[in-house]
Amino acid sequence: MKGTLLEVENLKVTFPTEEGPITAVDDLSFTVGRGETLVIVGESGSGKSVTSLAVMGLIAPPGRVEARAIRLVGKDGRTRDLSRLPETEMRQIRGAEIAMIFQEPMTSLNPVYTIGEQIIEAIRFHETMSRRAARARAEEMLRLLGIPEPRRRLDAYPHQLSGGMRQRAMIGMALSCHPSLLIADEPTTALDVTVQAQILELIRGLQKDFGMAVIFITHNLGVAAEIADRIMVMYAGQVVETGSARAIFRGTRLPYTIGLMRSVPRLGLDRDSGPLPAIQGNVPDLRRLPKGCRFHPRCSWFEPGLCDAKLPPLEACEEGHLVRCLRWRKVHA
Amino acid sequence: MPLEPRRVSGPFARMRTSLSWRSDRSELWRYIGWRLIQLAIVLIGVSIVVFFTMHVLPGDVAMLLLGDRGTAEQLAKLRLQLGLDQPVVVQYLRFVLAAAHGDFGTSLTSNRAAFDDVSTAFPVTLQLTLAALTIATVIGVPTGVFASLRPGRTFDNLAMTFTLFGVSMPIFWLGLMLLLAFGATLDWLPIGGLSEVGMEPPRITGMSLIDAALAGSPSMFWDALRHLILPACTLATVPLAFIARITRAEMLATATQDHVRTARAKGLPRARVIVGHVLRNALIPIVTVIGLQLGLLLSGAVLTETIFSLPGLGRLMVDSILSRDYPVVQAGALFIAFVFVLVNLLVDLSYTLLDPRIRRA
Ligand SMILES: Nc1ncnc2c1ncn2[C@@H]1O[C@H](COP(=O)(O)OP(=O)(O)OP(=O)(O)O)[C@@H](O)[C@H]1O
Ligand code: SF4
Ligand SMILES: [Mg+2]
Repeated sequence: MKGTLLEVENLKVTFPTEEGPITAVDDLSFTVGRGETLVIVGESGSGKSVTSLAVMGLIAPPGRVEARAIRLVGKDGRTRDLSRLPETEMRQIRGAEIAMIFQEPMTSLNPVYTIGEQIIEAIRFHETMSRRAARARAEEMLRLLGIPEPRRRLDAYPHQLSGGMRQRAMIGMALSCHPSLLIADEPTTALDVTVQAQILELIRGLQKDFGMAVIFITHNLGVAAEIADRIMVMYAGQVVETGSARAIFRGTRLPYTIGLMRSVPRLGLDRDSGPLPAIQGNVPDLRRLPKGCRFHPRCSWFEPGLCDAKLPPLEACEEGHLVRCLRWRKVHA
Repeated sequence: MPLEPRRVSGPFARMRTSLSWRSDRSELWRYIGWRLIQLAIVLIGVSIVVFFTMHVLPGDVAMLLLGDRGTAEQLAKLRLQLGLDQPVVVQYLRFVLAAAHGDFGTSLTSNRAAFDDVSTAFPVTLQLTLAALTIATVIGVPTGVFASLRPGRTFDNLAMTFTLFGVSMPIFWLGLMLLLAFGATLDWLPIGGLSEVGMEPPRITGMSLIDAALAGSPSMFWDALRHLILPACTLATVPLAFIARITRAEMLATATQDHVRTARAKGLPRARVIVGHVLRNALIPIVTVIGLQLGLLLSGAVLTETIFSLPGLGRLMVDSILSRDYPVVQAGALFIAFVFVLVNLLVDLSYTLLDPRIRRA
């Protein structure tokens, strides 16, 4: 690792609701190294998107973001604390230093502008460049992303492209200013399996070419296995496990992660082998979190009197591998 | 005020989904062709209604024409002349044939060709409507935009309260109040008519502002403008309130869409996001509403025309109905139907300019 690129310390995001504020992200800390791929995994509602939007400074009021620091090392080598950056400076970061792509390529592109217009707009805002030069750059991006006839596609509207092509265009737009960090929030979830694989492959390739770090958000550990250097597992707004991909896939010590692994869809699996064994029970309501370990109502290692009494701290079960479980020593896959 | 963007059905809907980037043009022409056929169908329908309404009225046309003066002999002769002895269908076909040539007969009150009465009155209404809609748009859209930027705050609350009054404003009362205040009491503006005596511009388009401008006379222009202000403001009130509320609602709805988040994630400045991405996308339903208002105002300017003594189409129609001037009523009704359908066609076409995918999936 060539040093740290992003360092998030004690991030907390709250939203007011009619029944009082909910804490969607609770005391979250993590780092991303240069050129590294961090995969954030967790079920729906665990706070993955909120975390990434908070890093981008895109949590809209009345949402509240607090953090001890969100430090980013810029392309110029300067370290900035994004949590204290004024909006005008934050704009220079968005798109240029950190770019983001979203889950739904259909709705995430503006339907009334062509692909070209949307990419050129991003480029020209961050770099002084003629329209013609920006258009050439945009065409180049589409070519890089394996879009056939890139020049013609620049003049296409989003609805004229397939889901996979749209997502490629989104990625092209995100990478057009050569960010040092790409946040991809479930970029392949809406796509069918073969296209998913192509897009993953593409992101991996571009990441190498551009020397770019990636935060990849998914609820599918199978996808995580494909691309992760490190994995951060989230549950109910908290980190519950982090470690190298290898350490986690070899020997996770967390009941929740074991459950996620069992529910990974595998290619080539027979249709009639039945539905995947999802973790039983539901993600807890953030307004009524269970006492003690937030996972305890769903956990098969649950020990009454222990797990429902005390919130487990993050503990190192091995070097660089942290788990939030009171009984991790006894847990095996 | 929740108002759904208009759903368009029929072949347009099909076109909306089947449009591909190469067949845009030919699909568009086919669509226009289809709409023109629709226009013809509407006109035929209106002509049937207009024709037969006149025929079920008590007393026949010949009696109307002759009034009390006619002898039985004269009546019989005129009936023959007008073809009133023919079967109704034949009479209708004759009527349609003549109407197709702009011949609706002679006005019973002005003794001019009925269609001339209509085409003289129409520009007055058109000018009034366009002026009102311009005021409503120029004030309504920015009001809606600014209200949407800080929903629930002072400006928004003020705007929403005023527009709530606005949409339910009784036009007649408002017009009279404005007339009393600015015309009669303060004496700042004229209380009615198109221009002062002696300040009438030579008639070219029939719209006093444009004719005055064409005549190159600043004083005539100023006079025409002063006469237009009160009626245009009166007529603008309801659509202004309506447009402001629609704009606000559409802005708020668009602002939460995914592509706006993308625009912010690109690092675009706030103003660029609001104008280029939120307003630009919200424009599609807003323009629809404005276009629909145009049609409504054109046919609904009658109260305003009455209060401010403007010789427009609305007033002509009311007068003609009251005096049973049936050729003018027929000509007017067909003309209004024609304009209404045409305006709707233009609104639908503006969609294709504003919305490349033409339809939200
Ligand atoms: N603007 C908001 N206002 C109120 N609550 C919010 C808001 N945004 C997110 N939340 C809540 O925060 C929690 C975390 O949401 P988040 O979108 O981060 O989940 P996620 O892990 O990305 O899930 P998914 O896999 O479904 O995308 C959820 O309970 C959600 O309801
Ligand atoms: S602390 Fe207890 S309930 Fe929570 S994950 Fe560990 S064993 Fe399960
Ligand atoms: Mg999400």
